[in-house]
Parts: sequence; structure tokens; C-alpha cells
Amino acid sequence: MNNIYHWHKRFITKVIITTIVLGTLISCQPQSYKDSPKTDEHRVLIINSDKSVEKYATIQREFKAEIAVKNIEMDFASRELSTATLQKQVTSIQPTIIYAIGSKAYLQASKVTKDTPLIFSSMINWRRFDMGTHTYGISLELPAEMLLFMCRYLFPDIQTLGILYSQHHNRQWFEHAMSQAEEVGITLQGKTIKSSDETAHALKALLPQVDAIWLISDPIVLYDTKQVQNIFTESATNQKPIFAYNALFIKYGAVLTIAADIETMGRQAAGIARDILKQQPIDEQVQFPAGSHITLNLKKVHEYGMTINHAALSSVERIIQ
Amino acid sequence: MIDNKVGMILLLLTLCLGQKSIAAPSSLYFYNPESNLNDFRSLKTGFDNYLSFGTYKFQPFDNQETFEQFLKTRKNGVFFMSSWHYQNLLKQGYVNLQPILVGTLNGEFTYTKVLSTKKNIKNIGKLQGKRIASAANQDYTQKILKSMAAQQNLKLNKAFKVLTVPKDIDALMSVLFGMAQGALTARTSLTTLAILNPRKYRLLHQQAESQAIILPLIIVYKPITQSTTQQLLNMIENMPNSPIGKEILAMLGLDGWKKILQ
Repeated sequence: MNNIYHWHKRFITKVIITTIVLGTLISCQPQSYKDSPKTDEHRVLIINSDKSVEKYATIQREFKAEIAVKNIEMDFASRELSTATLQKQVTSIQPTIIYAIGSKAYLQASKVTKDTPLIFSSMINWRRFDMGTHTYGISLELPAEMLLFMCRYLFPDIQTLGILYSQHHNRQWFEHAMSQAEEVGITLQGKTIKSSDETAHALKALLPQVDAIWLISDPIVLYDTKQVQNIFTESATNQKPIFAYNALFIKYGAVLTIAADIETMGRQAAGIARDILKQQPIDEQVQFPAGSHITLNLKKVHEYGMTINHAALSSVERIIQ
Repeated sequence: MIDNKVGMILLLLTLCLGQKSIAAPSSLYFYNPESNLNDFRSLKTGFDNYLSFGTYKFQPFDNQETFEQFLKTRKNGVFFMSSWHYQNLLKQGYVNLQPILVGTLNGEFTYTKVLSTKKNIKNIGKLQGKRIASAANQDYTQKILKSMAAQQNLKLNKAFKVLTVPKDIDALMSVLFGMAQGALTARTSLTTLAILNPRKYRLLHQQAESQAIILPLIIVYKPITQSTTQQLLNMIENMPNSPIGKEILAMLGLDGWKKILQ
């Protein structure tokens, strides 16, 4: 009986203390957060490099739709933010997580975060940037396997793909792609270049040896728009189709493009954020994009007289007829 | 006698022309979140080409709510939707919807979904709280996963985390490259992977298989009151007999139709 009395007393004391503490905490918060004390504990600061760019706006929208946490948004394009201003904002907001969309946002955010987890996405070649132990992200580049698989699936007659690349930027990538190509029965023929003025010569040498050209993200090969145009013209003259990594190349005459799906990247970033908030382990610090967006130019397919596997069309998001 | 014949012909022509002028154009309304095509321009161009010799329209929807709101206002038309969505609509009280055709692939009108993992696990209960990549929407994916757990007599305490991806091959790549711990895909997609990349296929473990799922349906409001609706249904049924029709069906992941006996 005595025990029950003491237990009851302790229980009531605990309830009173908890009520006071919770009451104090809630009264310190703005009115709008009172209804959701659980989510209120966390704030995600989203820094967007330029929200007027559709792909950046899309990824932000998808991220926000997936994460039920208070978001504070900053857009670099609408107000030029200095590192000092951003630092001030971060100190005042004290975000649980910072999500940087695009390289510009990441560069600034990485300067002002120390222990705050930082998630990035939409950065071309993320390996160029310094990363801390609390940095996570979604790369913009799909695994080589994805293009190779779709190439084999859509175009069963393609046996050899030609790749122009610079040693400095893509040697490792090419070596990996070679082994993966073997798995799907495709041979990769590579030609390395040291400077952009070697591109035309290397392409001319490569074209007779291959069934198609696979254009990869390489700043030396794709030095400027004139060079891109020349690659497409020369390949078309030789009746060799081009597969590329960005739908932008469709306007130059690419037959197939496989890019990372923007919306899926937003959902992936939200998934990482949720895992951090729930203190769950994160398997990969930087993930590949989980979704791809495939554009197929059927008009060009017919122009080149390519054999297409019609059953594979259901895996294509956009077909140009 | 001749005058009578001419009169009859004129009367028939008047009736036919009159009927044509009062018949409203029929439309094919499309909503299928499980389709990979999210840019409907190609599908619309395909259908517009295929249906070009009639007064038919193709109208795709990319939002379930908008589609269902639209459905409420219709009393006619032809609808393309997933069998799962149709069953949901029946539960919502759309009792006048009648399936006419069911899509087929390789002669089958059903398919199954398989849950694959890279890690060999004891049962799918081990995937609770883990990320599952799927091209189907959240609700449908959770429903299939729960039914798979029920088949294994498992009671789930935690929901699966669903990562929605554009298509089955993305789901398979996600599990192969560690973006997800499981992939829920059609068995046919696994078969394609096995053919094209057997080495990658061998890295996967099949943990569970769903019960048979009916492929997408062509549905009408009953009773059919417009002749154009019936004509449109006939044209849809004939798609496998035309190269353009075949191409459209391929975009939808089908290769034919089967008539549903009433």
C-alpha cells in the first residue's frame, strides 16, 4: 500500500514537471507550430541555386511534398546571398538539416555548416567539391549500366559503342564502363583526347569502328556548342546515331538520351533527410539517382534505319515521332 | 419504281448524315499512373494518328483527383485505367462503369509483381522500415507488400518506406546500386534483366511474388448510348492489327486486347 502511495506520488510529480517543461517549450514557439510539436523540433533549410530554373524548382517541390517538416527556403537568384548573410541566417534559424540544390548553393552552404548535416543534389560532377563527414547527396550522373542496359534493350543490333573522353576527367569512369558493357554484350571503343582541338580528328578515327556514339559528360570533348554541333554533324554524315546523357542533345539530333529523373532525386533527398531526422543509418553517403528519364527520337531511329525492340518502348518516358 | 428507290436512298442518306451530324465525338480518357510515359505528347500523337479517320479525341490525365472529378461529370466516353483503379472506383460507388476490354501481353491478361532484394533475407518482415523502390504509386505498393506479408503469415509492425521511381528497370537498378533495399517489379521486368544482364540478375534474391494482377482495362459507362462510343471501342480492339496501333500498345506495355464477356 505504502509502495503504491510512493509510486503514485512520484508519478504525479513527473506529470507536473513534464507538463511545465512542455508548456514552456510550446509557449516559446510561434503559434503555427503548436499543433504539431513533433515536427516542430526540426527545421530544414533549403538553399536553391536558382528557383526560376524549372528543374531546380521541381526538385524543391518534390522534396517538400515528401517531408513533413518545417522548411525555410532561400533562393540565391532572387537575392544575392553573401557567405556572411547566410551564416547569420543559419545561426538564427538553427536548421537540423541544410538541403542545397545546385553547385552554387552547395558551395555557400558548405562554408557555413560545421556539424549540421548537409544534403546536396543537382551538382554536375559532385566529386569536384569538398565533402565533410556530415555531407550526403544524390549524384546527377546515372550509373553507366543504365544506359548500357537500355541501349541493349531498345537496340538489339548495336554491338559497339564509341566514346570520346579526356583522360583527366573520365579515365576511371571509362574503365568501369568497359567492364559493365561486357555484361550486356556490348563492346566499348574509347578514344582519349587531351585538348578540345583533338576532338574532330579522334571522332573521325572512331566513327568507322562503331555502331553508335555514346556522348558522355566531358568538359574537354563538349568544349562549346560549336564543338557539340560538329560532333553531331560528323556522326550524321557517317550515318552513326548518338546516345547522350541529357535531353538537351535531342535538339542536336541525338537518338536516345538517358538522364537522371529530377522528381525522383527530390524524393531521394527527402528520404535521406528523413533518415537523418530519425537518426537511422544511411547506407550510401552519395547515392546514384534512383530514377531515369528516357527520351527516344523515333524519327531519327527510322532515319538511321535502326532496328528497335518495340517491347522496350514501355520503358521510355518521352517518344519523339 | 425508280423514284421509290431514289427516295429510299435519299432517305437513308439523310438519316445517315443526320445521325453523323448529331453524334457527339467520342473520347478516350486515359489515366494510368503505372504507365512509364509521363510525357503524354507521344501517346497523344500516336492515338491522334491512329484515330485520325474518325471524330475521336484522346485526353490523358496525370492526376488521380482531377481524373476522378472529371469522371463524376461524365455519362459517356471510353476510359483507359488500371484494374486496381477500377476496383477502387467500384468501392467509391461508380457502379455504372463497365469493363469491355482487358490488355494482354504475350497472350496473358494478368501479371505478377515480385519483391527482389540484393541481400538474402529470411522473410520480407526483415524489410519493415526499409526502402522499397517501386514504379507503382505509394498506396498500391504498400497494398501489394502487405498482401505479400500476409501470404507469408507475417504481421507487420512498421510500414515499408516506398521510393517511387519512374519504371521497373529503375527499381531494379536502385536495389542493385544500394538506393533501396528492395524492388517491387513485374515478373516480366526481372525476366528482361535475366536475358540482358544475367550477371546482375543473379545478384538478386526473389523474396515474394504477388497474386495475379489484371492488366489495364478499357471501360465505358453503361449503357452505351452513342454509336461513336461503340465505333471507338472497335477501333481500340483492332489496335494490334495496325502498325501504329501496335506501337501505341507497346508504349503502354501491352501487345493486345481481350474482350471481357458480360
